[in-house]
Amino acid sequence: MNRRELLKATGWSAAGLTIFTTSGCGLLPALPTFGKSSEEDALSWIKVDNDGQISFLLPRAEIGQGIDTGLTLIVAEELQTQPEQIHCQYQRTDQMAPCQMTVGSQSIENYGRLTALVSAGLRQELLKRASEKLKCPMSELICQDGQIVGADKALSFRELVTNNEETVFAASTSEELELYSSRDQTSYVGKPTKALHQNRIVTGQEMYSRDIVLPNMLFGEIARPPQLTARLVDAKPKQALSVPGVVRVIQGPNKELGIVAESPMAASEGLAAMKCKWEVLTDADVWNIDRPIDIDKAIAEDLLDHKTIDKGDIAQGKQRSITSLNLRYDTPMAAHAPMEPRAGVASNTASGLEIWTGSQDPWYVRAAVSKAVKIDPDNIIVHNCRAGGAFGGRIHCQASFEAAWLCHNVQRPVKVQWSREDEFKYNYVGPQFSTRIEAGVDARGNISHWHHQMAGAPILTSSMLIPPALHWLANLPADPGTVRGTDLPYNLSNQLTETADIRIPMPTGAWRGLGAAPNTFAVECAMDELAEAADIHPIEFRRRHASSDRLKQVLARLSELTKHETNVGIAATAYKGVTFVGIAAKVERKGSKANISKIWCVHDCGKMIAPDRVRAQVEGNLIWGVSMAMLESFGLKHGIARTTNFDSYAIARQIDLPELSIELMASSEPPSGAAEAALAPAAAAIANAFSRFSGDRIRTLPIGTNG
Amino acid sequence: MNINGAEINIPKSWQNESLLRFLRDNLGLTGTKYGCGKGICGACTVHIDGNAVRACVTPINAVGDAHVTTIEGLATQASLHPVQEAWIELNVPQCGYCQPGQIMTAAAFLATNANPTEEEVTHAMNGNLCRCGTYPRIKAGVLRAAEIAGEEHE
Repeated sequence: MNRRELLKATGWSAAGLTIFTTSGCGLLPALPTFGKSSEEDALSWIKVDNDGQISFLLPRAEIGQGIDTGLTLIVAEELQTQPEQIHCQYQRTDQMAPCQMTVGSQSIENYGRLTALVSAGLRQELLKRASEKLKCPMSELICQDGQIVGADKALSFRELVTNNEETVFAASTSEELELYSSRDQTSYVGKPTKALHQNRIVTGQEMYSRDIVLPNMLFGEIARPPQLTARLVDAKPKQALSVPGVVRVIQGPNKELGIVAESPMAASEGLAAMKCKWEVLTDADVWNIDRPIDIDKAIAEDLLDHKTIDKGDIAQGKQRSITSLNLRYDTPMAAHAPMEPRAGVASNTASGLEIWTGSQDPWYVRAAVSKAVKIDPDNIIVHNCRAGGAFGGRIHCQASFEAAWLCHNVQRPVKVQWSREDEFKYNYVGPQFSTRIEAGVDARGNISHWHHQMAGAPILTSSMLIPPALHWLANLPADPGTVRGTDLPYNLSNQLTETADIRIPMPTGAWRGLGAAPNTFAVECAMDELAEAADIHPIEFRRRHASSDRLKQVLARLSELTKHETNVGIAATAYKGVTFVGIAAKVERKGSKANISKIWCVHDCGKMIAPDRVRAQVEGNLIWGVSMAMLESFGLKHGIARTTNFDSYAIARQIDLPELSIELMASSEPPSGAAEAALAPAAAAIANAFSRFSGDRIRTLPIGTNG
Repeated sequence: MNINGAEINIPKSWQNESLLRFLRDNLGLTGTKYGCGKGICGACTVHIDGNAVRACVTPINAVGDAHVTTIEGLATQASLHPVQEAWIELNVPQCGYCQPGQIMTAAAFLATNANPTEEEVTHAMNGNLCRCGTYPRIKAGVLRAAEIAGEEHE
């Protein structure tokens, strides 16, 4: 395998990383699924069973973003059949080819057209069969409500399934077929609709991975270090076996220690009885784990080795400026804190394992388990349940690896359920970001220069994914996740962007939108200060610099919506260059406190498939933005999480909800993502609103609620 | 103990456990969710004699012979509870994990206050966390459920 083939096979080229050499091959760990699905892969997603039921095997993880509804509407449109008639099933690794991991708001963009093509292909196959049966040309038949209808006779889908076969699939996908979901007039796409699976959710029937119960199932616990990186030095496994209900203690090759028992209580008691002793970390170790990321220190130590943008001449631009500002912005580490702490269930089969997980990438779960227990991936089936929130934190689903390891050893079904404390302590976090922006405006109110220096930590090349031996290699290019949001949606003639990925022992990784929200916080707060320095309205200042017409239109609409308001905070973004968002926030006094009273959001994500689910995502992003701006900060002290539950890690509550005014712009542009876009500028708009309310600039998050 | 209308005997080894653990890990009633284990987030909310309680911090032996209703027992054979109907009508859930707890809190609240103001709803629902941020629809859902319940009584 040559280097290019390796990059393609491992997906790193898709991730924008082109540095791996063949020397790293043997060291490569299980990797997430980067590659997109092909048309051939898509053929297995949709079928008509022998009872006439249409089944759609959802090629994406459903994590609350509503892609179950979105893609099913496309199937419904192509088959001209009510969405309720389509049985939408979650991912299973044995029934479909690997699908790209569900990240980055790409599901409609990368899977919408494929879903439409294969659905149209199935429609064509059904029309062809009906045409033969009815002896009538295909052009005189239509597909409607589970039937193929002709001039004087209709055949149900069931009648089109021949007796000796179980299911009908699309024979092929063809670019020549008309895609009904792309027509201007549609029946289901773009229309108000019931979200899928709601009946199951509101009656408690929906099965998350934590809810899976198997016959003869044991409960597993894993000995976990009290401090990050601390190794187990001593344990008394035999003492655990005297606890009633404990079935076995299992030791791994690297001193991993697990226990399985007939009840969750016996598993916890058994774990306690083992009296695990852990390595005591030195002060230097603890300092290394806890050390904060500080842009000024990073500059002084010459750590900013990635130059991601270099245009024009900063020094010349600065000479032309009438005002130059040198601003520092800091955002803390952030936890995902999904409402479902992760869990996993594994069952032994004749040839391998069957696993229930809630992951953004079930094929990654399969690959990681395959490597850990040395079972061929073809003998491992992963059922991907609806996840109780993910937000970038479930590429890994460690509890399902643990359940699989214990099950493989004990040869009985095992469930591992992380506690809320485990969820905070043992997953990766969104990294801290520390930024300096030196920028100015000239006499005409244009940005004269923009020198952006940012220190963050690896996201796509997270230490959870890349083994230590390859860190040096992964560190060579700028991490594309960490720098997201530093490429401004504005035309600037003199621009220099330098970044550092500082690899700290605390594992860092994807958090909703990757670098977009922390970087956009810095960028849009700085834009606000420049607008003020230039004495130009903050919307007009952004509009005159905006590099795309769609962002200009969003800003123009935001301006209309807020024209009677004074002192609103403004921020905008072009998320990944494809989704355009403008936000205004208003702060007012409520009792003794300054309070966010209203947020306006204008949002353009192209053509919308399921507008209500888009709106739900925008609502969620704005509230997540309130949470990020006001409350959230993951704390590390003495090498261990200080914030371990919702009493110490505060997230937005019902009482924090401002009035929301959301406008989704109608568009015929191709659909783009909506699940993270509105978060990116939300915290900046809120911080700018507080700054205008109080006169003091906010440059560090969280703002806190005591003001 | 009576759970959703069925008399349940508690095995001796479970008698010192929380109601939540018993419901989920012994009875397999997994509609009630674990979220924090400390009574902070509300995901495990059930009704005991009609009152909303946090099952994760309720010891089984404190329940006695009271009537416990979980999300699985909220609807009747004939129809969903007005809160469930409103939740579906307004497409409230995103990931959905916190929603059984939200719904149980809302149902118990509406039983004591049939026509709440927006502000009363905000305060009644403030102890139930939702990370997806479905708060605006939860609030609208409680108000809509009050309307639906009113229509049903007419």
